Amino acid sequence: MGSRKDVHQGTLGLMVLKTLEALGPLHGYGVARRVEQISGDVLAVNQGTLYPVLLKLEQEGAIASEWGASENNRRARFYRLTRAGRRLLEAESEDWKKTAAIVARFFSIKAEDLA
Amino acid sequence: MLFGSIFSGIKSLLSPGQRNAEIEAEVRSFFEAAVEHKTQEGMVRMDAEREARAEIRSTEMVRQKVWAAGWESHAESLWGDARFGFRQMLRSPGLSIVATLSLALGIGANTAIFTVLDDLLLKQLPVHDPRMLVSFGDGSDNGIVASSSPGAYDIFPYDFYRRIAGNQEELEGSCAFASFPTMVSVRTGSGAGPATQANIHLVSGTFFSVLEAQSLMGRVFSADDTATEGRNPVAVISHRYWKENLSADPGVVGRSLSINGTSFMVIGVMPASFYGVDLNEESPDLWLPITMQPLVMQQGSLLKPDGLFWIHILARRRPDVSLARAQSWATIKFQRFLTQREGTQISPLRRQQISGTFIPLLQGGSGLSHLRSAYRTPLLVLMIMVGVVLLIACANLANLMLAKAASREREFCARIALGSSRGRIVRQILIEALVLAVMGGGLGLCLAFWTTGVLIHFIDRGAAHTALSATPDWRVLLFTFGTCIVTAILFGIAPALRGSRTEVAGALNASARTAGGATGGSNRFIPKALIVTQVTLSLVLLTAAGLLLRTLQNLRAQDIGMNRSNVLLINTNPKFAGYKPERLNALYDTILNRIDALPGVRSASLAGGPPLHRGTWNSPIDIDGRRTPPNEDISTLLNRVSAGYFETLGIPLLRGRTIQSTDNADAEKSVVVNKTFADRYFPNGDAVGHSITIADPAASGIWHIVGIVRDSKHGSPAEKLQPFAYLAVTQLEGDAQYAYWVQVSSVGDSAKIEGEVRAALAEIDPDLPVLKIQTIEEQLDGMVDEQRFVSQLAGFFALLALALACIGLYGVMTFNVVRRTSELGVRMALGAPKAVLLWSVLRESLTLLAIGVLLGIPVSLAASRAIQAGLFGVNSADPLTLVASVLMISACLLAGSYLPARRATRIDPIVALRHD
Repeated sequence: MGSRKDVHQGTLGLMVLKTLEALGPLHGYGVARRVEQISGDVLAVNQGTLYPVLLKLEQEGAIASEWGASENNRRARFYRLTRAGRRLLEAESEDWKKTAAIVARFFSIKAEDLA
Repeated sequence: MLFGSIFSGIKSLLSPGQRNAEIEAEVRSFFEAAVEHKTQEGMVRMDAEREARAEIRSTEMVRQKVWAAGWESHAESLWGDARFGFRQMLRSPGLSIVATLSLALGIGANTAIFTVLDDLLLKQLPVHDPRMLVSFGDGSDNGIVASSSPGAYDIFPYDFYRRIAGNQEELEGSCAFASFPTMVSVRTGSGAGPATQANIHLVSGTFFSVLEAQSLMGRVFSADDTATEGRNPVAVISHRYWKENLSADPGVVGRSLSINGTSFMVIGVMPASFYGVDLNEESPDLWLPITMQPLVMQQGSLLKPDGLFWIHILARRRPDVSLARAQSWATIKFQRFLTQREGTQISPLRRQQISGTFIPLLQGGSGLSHLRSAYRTPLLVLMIMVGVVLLIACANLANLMLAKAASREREFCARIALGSSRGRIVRQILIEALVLAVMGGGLGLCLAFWTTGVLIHFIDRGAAHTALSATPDWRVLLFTFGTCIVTAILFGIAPALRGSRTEVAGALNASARTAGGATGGSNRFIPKALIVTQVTLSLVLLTAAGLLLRTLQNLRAQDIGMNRSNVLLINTNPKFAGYKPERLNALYDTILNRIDALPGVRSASLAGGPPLHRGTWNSPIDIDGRRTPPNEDISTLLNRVSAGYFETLGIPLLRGRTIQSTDNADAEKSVVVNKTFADRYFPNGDAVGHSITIADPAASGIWHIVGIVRDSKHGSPAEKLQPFAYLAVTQLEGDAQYAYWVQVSSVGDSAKIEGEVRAALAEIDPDLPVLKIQTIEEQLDGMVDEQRFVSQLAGFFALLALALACIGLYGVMTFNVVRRTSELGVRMALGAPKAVLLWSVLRESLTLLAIGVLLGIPVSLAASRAIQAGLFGVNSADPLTLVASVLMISACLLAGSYLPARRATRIDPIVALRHD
């Protein structure tokens, strides 16, 4: 566990949005597990990092939440993507792809390419 | 999104408990879900719980992270800093009180002057879209004048307005109104009952529609109300008049008021915020149609095509017409109008004069005011002065906080050592400064409210009601708030940087003795520089105030050519008591005989206008029936006076005789002229015996010069002497025969006979009103109002600056002495004489004083040159004023630094050596 990486908050927001888009409404613990699972257990997400992100996304209107019953009938807060969140996700993934492409080009650079 | 964030942020600030409960619930549900998951994966419940707890770590940490995520965490920590700052203030209450008070004085003075400035120069009329209003000229002229010299015009004949009123191409609409208020006598109810006086404003029918001002009740005037002369006895009344004089009668619309004996119907009541377009001493009680002028003013019509210049014009611009185009259109119209007035024969000279006239279209949104032009420069000068006072107060505060920062060095050290960032310490000190500034500002606002009332009372000469208001509007509040912030930054920045530069290593374990010494050098430079700045600025203020006070003194000492004491001036109006011109001479006889007979009265007289008064009657004249060449300035100031006028006022007769009671309606018309008149038109000294004719038809006929009197002043003690002719009032006719002022010269203090004079007038005719009663000293003071305003306030602010500078020097010196306690103690123990110690402390302040004065002299000279135009009888580089200011500042500052120095010599060496 010790070698697992903490996630950058901005990036975590994007991951949360994508997770909610893919899997529909989830409670906090569910989101944390799914993000870890999707990352191949490379990332560590605990409540201290997750909750501020959820709160921020909710304040921005990207997600909405309500109390409900979990699969084992426990009270839990369920988060779901809103329409604004969907738009945000689209825009962010575009951005991310572009950035990733640019960074990838830099990594692939060799001196002879620039000659 | 943004709103959501702000909203939830505020919500969490207001109810932190709820937010915490939510977090806790969320953490619990997370925990439960985690445990569930782990047991499902086969873990023992206890182990699952332990592991889940380890993953989540503490609820408290989650809470901290959540709180830190939103903007409200910053607000929360700022609030914490502010509370800490406030506690810091409470720890040294004495210092905090001095600091808050000096800030309150500084900010209060700024707010007070700014409120008056805002009232007079910035405030917009309370009407719809005032920015689109333009005034024809600046409206600083008022009265009834016959002038038509080249230059900018702001006063017009009614006929000119009639010609441009219909235009809709260049202007959306225009309105005209009298350039002066008129006092009328009003009887409410059905004729009987006592008459009251009201201040009315004659306006054109378009007045309210151009302003787009709506009535509260009833209707406002329409163009129809001024379509025909004398046909529309209707009135719109002010909210105040409605409440105070008509007991807020809900059925007032339709009620009739008897104004100067004619019944006028009230058609509307304006809202409380509406005060018309004049921002002058007194705002109108009623608005009446301009076409009712002859009846209201009880004098000949001013509405005729060849009428005199007496109205102001205000217009609403069309958005699609440029100001330049509207202005050139108005100027062309006006020049054409003047040309047509001249008739068929116009001399080339006159034509040239007319082509030199123009109408500047100025922003009219803030209304018209003659106070504005009179007080603009004084207020701007005072604004700069109070700004400087505030700077001096800031320097004090900066020194005080620097000293505090030095004594809090260990606190800062501890904070930095415990991981606080230096930025955080800067912020902490700046917030403490802000707390001080806001407290000072709040107190200053209260001080300002009270002071502004006094200032306004001065400016409006004690008028019962005025459009000027001491209540701060949003501009004033914004100004005060901005001043607080700028002030806080000004005095907080040096201590803040000083605090953040604290060296962690040395200070924590050093004793105060070495801590003070170790920081020496650059840190002690700032307090010294601040003291020098204070000395420099105070010297500038003292010099400026000195020059202004000497100006006032010179103006007051100026020879005004008449008695300056023991004369009472009474303003009355025989028209209000129903006197027709035929009955006036008999009334005048009765008044003069009755008052002359009062004990303590030397003599009494009557005149059309009061002495020492600006707004005087004037007209061109011709000598011996010979037409004076038009290029010569032939306008002569006129007044109409009764027998005894010169004797009562003490204006010496130089040749011939004064006006006598024998100069009655049947005798040859007599005029007395002043020396300037005689010298200008009769250089050979033979004025007596010649005759003049006066262009103003109100004073028709041939007037014989019977005497020459000494020159006296009229508008201002500093004015250039002008030709003046005094006509015998009993020999005039019609409206010109009315005398509105009674002068009474008394044996002793004129204020003492006031009651008797009032009683005598009431005995003659109870309807004869006393509109105003004042001594000649008060009248004289009125002539130098603006100078009194600026120089007395400047003197006050300069003293305030000086006091602040003294307190500042005292504070810094005391701090230095305390800092050097152990050094001084050692020296004393080693046998240093007291004088040496005294000198070693005093030397520092003397050096600072000397540098401050040396820097201050050139700055003062430059500042004095800037106010040169407002000075009279004193040079801006007046050495006496400068030397006096330097002496004054030196004496005060020496006193301020002597006290701490003496304290240094009284140090007990034993105590000093134990001192920390």
